[in-house]
Amino acid sequence: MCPRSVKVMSIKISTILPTFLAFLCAGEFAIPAAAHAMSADGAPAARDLVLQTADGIAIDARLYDANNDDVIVYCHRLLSGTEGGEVDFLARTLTDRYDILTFNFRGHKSSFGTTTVGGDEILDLRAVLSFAGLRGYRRIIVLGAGMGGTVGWRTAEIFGNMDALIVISPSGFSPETAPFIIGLASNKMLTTPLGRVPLRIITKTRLGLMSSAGFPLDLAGLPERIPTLVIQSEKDRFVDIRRIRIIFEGLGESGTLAIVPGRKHAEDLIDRDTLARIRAFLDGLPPREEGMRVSRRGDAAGPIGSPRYMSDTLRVALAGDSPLPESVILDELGKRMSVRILAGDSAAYSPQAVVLELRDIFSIHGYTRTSLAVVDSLPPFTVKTSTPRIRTVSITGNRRLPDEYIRSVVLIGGDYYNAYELDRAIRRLSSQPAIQSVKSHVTARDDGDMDILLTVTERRPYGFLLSTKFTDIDDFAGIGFTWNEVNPTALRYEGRALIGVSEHDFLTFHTLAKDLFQNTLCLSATLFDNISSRDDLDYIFSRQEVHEIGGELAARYRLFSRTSVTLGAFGKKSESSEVSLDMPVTEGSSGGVRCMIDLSGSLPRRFPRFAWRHTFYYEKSGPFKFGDFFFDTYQLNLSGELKLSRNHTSLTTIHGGRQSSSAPPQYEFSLGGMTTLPGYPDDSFIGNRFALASQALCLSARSVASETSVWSPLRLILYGHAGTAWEAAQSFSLDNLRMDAGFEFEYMEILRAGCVWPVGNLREGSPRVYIGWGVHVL
Amino acid sequence: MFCSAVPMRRGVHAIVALFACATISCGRPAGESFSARADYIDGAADRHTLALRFAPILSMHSSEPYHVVAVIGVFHPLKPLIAYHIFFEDDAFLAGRGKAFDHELVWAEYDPVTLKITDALTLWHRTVLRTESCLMDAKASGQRPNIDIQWGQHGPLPSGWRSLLTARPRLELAMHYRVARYINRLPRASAKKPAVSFSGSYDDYLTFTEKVDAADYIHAEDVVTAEHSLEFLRSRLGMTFLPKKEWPDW
Repeated sequence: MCPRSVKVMSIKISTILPTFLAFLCAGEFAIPAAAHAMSADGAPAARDLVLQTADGIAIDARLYDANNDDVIVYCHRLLSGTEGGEVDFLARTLTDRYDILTFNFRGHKSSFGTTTVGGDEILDLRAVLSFAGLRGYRRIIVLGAGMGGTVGWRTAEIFGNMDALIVISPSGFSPETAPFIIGLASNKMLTTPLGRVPLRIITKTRLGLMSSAGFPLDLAGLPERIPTLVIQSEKDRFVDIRRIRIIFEGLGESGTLAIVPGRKHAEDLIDRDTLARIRAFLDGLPPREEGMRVSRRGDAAGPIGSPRYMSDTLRVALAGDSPLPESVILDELGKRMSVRILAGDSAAYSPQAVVLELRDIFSIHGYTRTSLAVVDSLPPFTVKTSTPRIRTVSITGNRRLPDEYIRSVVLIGGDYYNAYELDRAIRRLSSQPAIQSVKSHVTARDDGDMDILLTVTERRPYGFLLSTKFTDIDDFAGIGFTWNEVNPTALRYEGRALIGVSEHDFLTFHTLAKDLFQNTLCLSATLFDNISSRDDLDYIFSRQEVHEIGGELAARYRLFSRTSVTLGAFGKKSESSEVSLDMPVTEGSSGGVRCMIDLSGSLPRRFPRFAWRHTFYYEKSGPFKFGDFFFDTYQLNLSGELKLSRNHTSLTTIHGGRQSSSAPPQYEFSLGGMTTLPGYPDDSFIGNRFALASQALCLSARSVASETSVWSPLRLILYGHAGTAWEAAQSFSLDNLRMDAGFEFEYMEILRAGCVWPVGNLREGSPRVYIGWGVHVL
Repeated sequence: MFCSAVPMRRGVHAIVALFACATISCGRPAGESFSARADYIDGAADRHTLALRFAPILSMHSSEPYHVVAVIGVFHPLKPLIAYHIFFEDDAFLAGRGKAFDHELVWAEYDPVTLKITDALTLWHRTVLRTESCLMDAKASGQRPNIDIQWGQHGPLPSGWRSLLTARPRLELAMHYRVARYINRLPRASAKKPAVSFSGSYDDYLTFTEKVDAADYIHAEDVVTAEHSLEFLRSRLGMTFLPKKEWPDW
């Protein structure tokens, strides 16, 4: 160890802690300044902005305003942000002719929301484009790197409203655009919850749930009307260059592909050489033929987005079938016109210029195929609009998934064609577990209407999750697995397993379920061997230490929206190859019927938010003389959640149960362990009567930390339990209650660590420490 | 990995407590309204225009005894969701209970980019109902959902509700029909409002032919953005109705 390390290690924790806290307060929670002074190297002053996207997400943007007529909108790569060095580089080198407008995508850095890895991010760019348009820029050029390039590409295709597009290393994180290993690793990191914690802490990027998003899988539709430059390194690790070449083979002169040597990716490619290419590309852009916009930014002071005037000469009447309300169109037209004048006829506004603006308005709403024609060219102009409708939606490629299921997911058809709606539908379908990828092909009919063909590639659907469990007092360390499988016929399988690391014991749950007639039929089985750590989630669980094999068939009938009845039958066999004195097992088989009533509800909104769920459970073994054991089990579980405030909650549970006294030992209730009385080892209390109550207070850091903070997902849970189990011959006594109290830190419902103490007169043992990582900790 | 007992010392307690305090005492308060300080809000269309665009078409029974009195459009402050509070003159089953108006709810969810409807839901006797066919019909007919209104009680049923197989509404509708036939024989709480009863067959009970356009009742002053709209509703209609859950996920 080097002397420097020795010195660092010798610093007392009392010195580190205040420094650490000061760092937290100064760095993490500092509110950014509204404006930045001009840097010493000549970059113009930057102005920080907050833009709200159409779906209500607040994103942070930064404008380097050099009072130019044109603006370059820079879109950063995944996990990056506006603080990247390339932004400074662009601001220093391009602001002689272009303003630079950049922003943090949703879920990145100080922008709100969660990232969908290029999916919903098109709405972020849409908001920025709208903002830039209303500032009156003459030309808007989008420059994107990595994911930002992909987002720019898709935005050009779906919303238009840009004059040129420059894409650097467009990475889509799909099997088609990324090399296999990179694609696989990226997918697993980004699509499973396992990657959410490290990404959040290290990069301040908040990953959303992929079930609500999807990936941009098809980049083939390069926008034809928008001049595009793609810059790609020869040996990019994240992008398959062959794929890029294939895309360009089908393009005309609208796209330019520049291959540069090396292995650089995304913003690493932004250097002097790239800049020269970009400048050459921008210099070669053709001017707009008609209705050239001229910036009047010098006059455009005042609040952005509010129409200041609309000339009397600009009276536009719309005719034809419009997919948007006329008032919405004219309102947006007024806003756009109020900050621009149009070359050629600045006094009267040429009809061609109005058509140009109207086309952009329809495009920004996703109606990219709306055609416009001036019917009457004298003021007031009459513009006839025509938007194609979707005639048919055909589905091909699906072998197992029925068409009806796919249609119920995409939910398109019957109305006007909209590129954004189609994109969302494809992403929604792509995020289904049984779907590998979806491609669309749109065909125009003779009458202008559209036929849509969806080509679906299916895959074997599965979900695999990993969790861990470590407890100190009973020396148990285990690894948990969860496996979810969905059959194309909607038959679901869920398997959960906990395997002990040191003793090779295991506990597994298996459930096969299918929904029929809006009810659930389920078949479940439990297998375990010599399990040391028990997770008797419903408290009705055999406590034998050897083998159990059996099954349960249950049907859940949903009587009302929040009331259901589950009826089932079970059968199992108990063997006893090893019997310890404290864990007796009676050999034999058992079978019976089960019934569970599940009630849930909440108080009306005007009362304090209180939601409850109550279950009543009844099990009868051995009807019709089936099996070797005959006993009845009753159990009542009451639970309630009270919202103390927007982020804090109080959880209360009460459980009670009784069995007939003839139940064999392995069917008796067992209390103790992580899910009942965590302060005590597993199987601390055994009997055929039990009572248990718990109270927990969940305090969220979100109440005081910003949603974008690294700390906001942290929760502190203070809890206490009291419970006991006893035999029928005894009677319940409060003196026999065992109690514990503890606290737990939970991060993103994945990382948990806690400590719990036995308390009260009957406390046994010492404090227990536990830690778990994974979506569920068994 | 914790595989052995960890000594719990006072120093550890102090560090944990300090860390917890630091965690919950630093940072910007959450819940800050960013709309208020946004420099630009994308896709902010006129609320009245949107309320009219997605207003439901009510399909009522030809012998429906009560008329629509008012329709109030309430926008959710955070989601693209509109609650249409529809008020009828009275409820056949509850006439004379002291509340003049029968209060029903239909929700329309829309896409703020395309301005297309994305879902339509109804509150049918405390149960939220939705059907896919109602949504697809709405898309094909000008983005406006078609809602069947139950005779007398005005329980809103999304078109295509016959495909729902749960006890509600399928089984309960038959029960309502039985009560509706003999309701005039039941003792009434108020003699001022004579009881009405249904006289047709069950098939007739489920036939909805009279179209009422909810948009005809929505004026600019009847549109508001609020998560809790009870005060606004009472300011418009007084204490004349029973409040219901305002959003589908409540």
